[in-house]
Amino acid sequence: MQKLTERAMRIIFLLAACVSIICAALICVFLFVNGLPAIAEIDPLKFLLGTHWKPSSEAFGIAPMIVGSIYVTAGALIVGTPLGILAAVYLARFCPKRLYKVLNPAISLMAGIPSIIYGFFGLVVLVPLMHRLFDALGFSGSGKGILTASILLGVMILPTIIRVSESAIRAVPQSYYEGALALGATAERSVFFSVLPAAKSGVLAGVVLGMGRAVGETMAVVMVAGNQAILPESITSGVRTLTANIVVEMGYASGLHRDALIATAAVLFVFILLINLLLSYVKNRGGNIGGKTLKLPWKKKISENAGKRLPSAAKAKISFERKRDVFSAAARAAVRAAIGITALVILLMVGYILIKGVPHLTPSLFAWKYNSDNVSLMPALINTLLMTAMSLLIAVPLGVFTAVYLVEYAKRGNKLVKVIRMAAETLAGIPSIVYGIFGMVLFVVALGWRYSLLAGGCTLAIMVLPVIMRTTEEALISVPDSYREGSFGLGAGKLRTVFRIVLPAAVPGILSGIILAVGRVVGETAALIFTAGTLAKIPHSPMDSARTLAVHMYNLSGEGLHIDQTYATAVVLIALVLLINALSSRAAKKLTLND
Amino acid sequence: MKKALSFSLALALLLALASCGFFGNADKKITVITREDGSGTRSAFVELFGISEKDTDGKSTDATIDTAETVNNTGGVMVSVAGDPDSIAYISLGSLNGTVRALSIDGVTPTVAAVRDGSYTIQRPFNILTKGELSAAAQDFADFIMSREGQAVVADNGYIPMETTREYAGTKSAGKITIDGSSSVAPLMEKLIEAYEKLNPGAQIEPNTSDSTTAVQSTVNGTCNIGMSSRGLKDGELAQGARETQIAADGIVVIVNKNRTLTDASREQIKAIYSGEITKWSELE
Repeated sequence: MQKLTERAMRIIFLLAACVSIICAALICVFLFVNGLPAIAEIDPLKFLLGTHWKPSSEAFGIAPMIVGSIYVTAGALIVGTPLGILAAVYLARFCPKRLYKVLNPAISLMAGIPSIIYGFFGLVVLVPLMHRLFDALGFSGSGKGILTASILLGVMILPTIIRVSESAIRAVPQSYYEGALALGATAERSVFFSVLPAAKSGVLAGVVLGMGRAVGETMAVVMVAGNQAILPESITSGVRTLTANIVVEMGYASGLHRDALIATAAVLFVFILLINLLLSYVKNRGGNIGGKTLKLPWKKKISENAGKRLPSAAKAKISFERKRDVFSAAARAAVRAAIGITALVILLMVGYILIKGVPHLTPSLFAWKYNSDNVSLMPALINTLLMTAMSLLIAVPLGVFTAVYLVEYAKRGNKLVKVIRMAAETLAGIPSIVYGIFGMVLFVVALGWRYSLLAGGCTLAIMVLPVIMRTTEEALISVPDSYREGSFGLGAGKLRTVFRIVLPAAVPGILSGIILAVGRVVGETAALIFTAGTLAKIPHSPMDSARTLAVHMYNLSGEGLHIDQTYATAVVLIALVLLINALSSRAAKKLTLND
Repeated sequence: MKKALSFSLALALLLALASCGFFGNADKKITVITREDGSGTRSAFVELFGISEKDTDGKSTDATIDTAETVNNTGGVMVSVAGDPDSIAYISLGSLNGTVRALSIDGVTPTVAAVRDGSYTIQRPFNILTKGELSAAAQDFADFIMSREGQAVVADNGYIPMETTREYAGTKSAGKITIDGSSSVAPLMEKLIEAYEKLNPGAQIEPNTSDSTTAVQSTVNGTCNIGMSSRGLKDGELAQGARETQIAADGIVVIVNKNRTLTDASREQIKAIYSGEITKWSELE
């Protein structure tokens, strides 16, 4: 009897694991089955290299959009990478503990703020500012364009780069730092020439992740880039990205136009795949810190420097004062400037929204029923909870079971495991707008669900599945084998061990993954406007349309009739993100306490 | 140190290359703002001002210049114009508020009265779209819109009502009605739904905002019961089975930033701006 249940559950876990492969395959199929014939009909060269995009005249050249995406992403990287790496260095190595307690939640907040808020802030503050700057400097430009979009996107990817780089730098053993210090280098030189190069692969991984985020960003870019479907002339010209092209036209496109947009999504998908490949290449090259292969390119430099220093130290006064030199002073200033700019940006943005929004937080804004006068956000708030619950209901069992299969049941180096991992990485990189059109074509139209909570929930479930899978897997791996062995030793079967011993021990890690997923759902806009629709009521059934808070804000800013309430809604959204972050850090604390 | 130097040199080079396009003129260029392709407001605007050209097949197409910024909703247009002193755009008269200034066209100020008596000719219909037989619930709602009560709501909200003496009989049918379409019609539709729900509390109406062409698509493929559009149906759309009923009339206003001195423009000037013939404010003011 026990054997039968064991076998059955193993198959169930396996099936759950296969769901992620099925989803990734479905999306690929959808993109290429609809997109490739369109590309063939338009003629691949004309599609990819054509500079004329005018659907009404059957002209479908996406070269301006490809160039737009490339410029904006490159710009974002130029803005975000130096700032992010320097800020990460500060946070990891120079930040006093008390300041860190303030800065860390601030970075988390920045990471969690929905892109619709960044976009709105960009439109009302950054664009007029840039326009004035351009006027003052004698440039032409309305303020919307490559430069503005790059700055906004650079700020948006900062938290990603900072987070990953910081953990990479922290993972470098202290001995690297101390060794350099012992050889006579200053603190700053030690960090920049000994610690940072050792963290290179992690930092690079963070940059590549940031690049992926920048390429896939939709809502913020569509508000500040200008969206002209032409090749840009200068850095102040307006530009349209691939993502903006899809979101602006998908709603009303039909026939070849719609297929051309799906083909655009396919091109975007290929970009993301390339970035993912780059990411795995970078990760593999770097080797593991404190593990097997250690690359020590700095060894030569330090010994050179050591050679240079020793005679002077030995000759003159042997001072143990660390040498102050230009580089160290500049580096010290640079990291502080970087974190200062980051903090300033967060402060400005959140502060501006609070100042403009808090005065309009009236009780009518929280009325149970929405009407066009009070534009109450209460139904949207409740819908956000419902949408989160629905997506988690689907994603958590699937993700947890998949992770259980990968960790507990699958043999090492199993081909299926590799495929599942690849599928998960693919799913993780797909931009939300692509999920949106996929969900629309599959759930809303093909399955006939129309705009509904269910369509939105299913789409978001696929979107957050990789997050749950990854964090659960890590949580399960970190459960010591002794737990399992002890359970087996007492006579329990595998199934009982998993459910009674391993999973409960991994709960804090799983919880942190769930909270990450919740953050993603709360901030999502592009995927939901095409699947769950924009109805501002609490749904009677899952088949009713339902707008979440982020979509509500998008709608309000789009109608333009209630600007004050838009700000107030933004305040509530930010408060929600803060709450989720606070919960997440408490769960994380529980995790470390349990160890 | 070397790396930092080479990096900053590369950056400087990049900036220099990128800046080739910059050094501009003292006269301010007009920032032309338009809506997305599928917008009913854009189609109506282009048609009313004659901003069209014949393409290679002899079809007349939208000739709005390529360098016009595209904003995909009314609110975004207004915020953009309010934030850019050199911009010009167009929106529905019903959405106009104090953050931007409306230009008078050929001396006629855009007001509801001017649209009603026909002196302000830049106006377009608000239509509801249907295909085939409507469900009882949808038909009831449509009847309400075209009744005196419904048209009173239209008038109260700054739009031009249709002439009608029909009273709303009200079968008060139950059933879900999904409505999708124009962001210009949406605010009016919201008010109509609220008024209808007061008379028929059991009504389940789901409005969704997108744009006029989406409305046609949704109506034709059955994703929604009633579509709302701010332009007339094209021949191809009629051939697919879509039918329209006008529920109101609405003006389109050309808006500029409040800091501009310009208060009036001619039809030809607006056409010239949007087709790229006039590019600087100095040619207008």
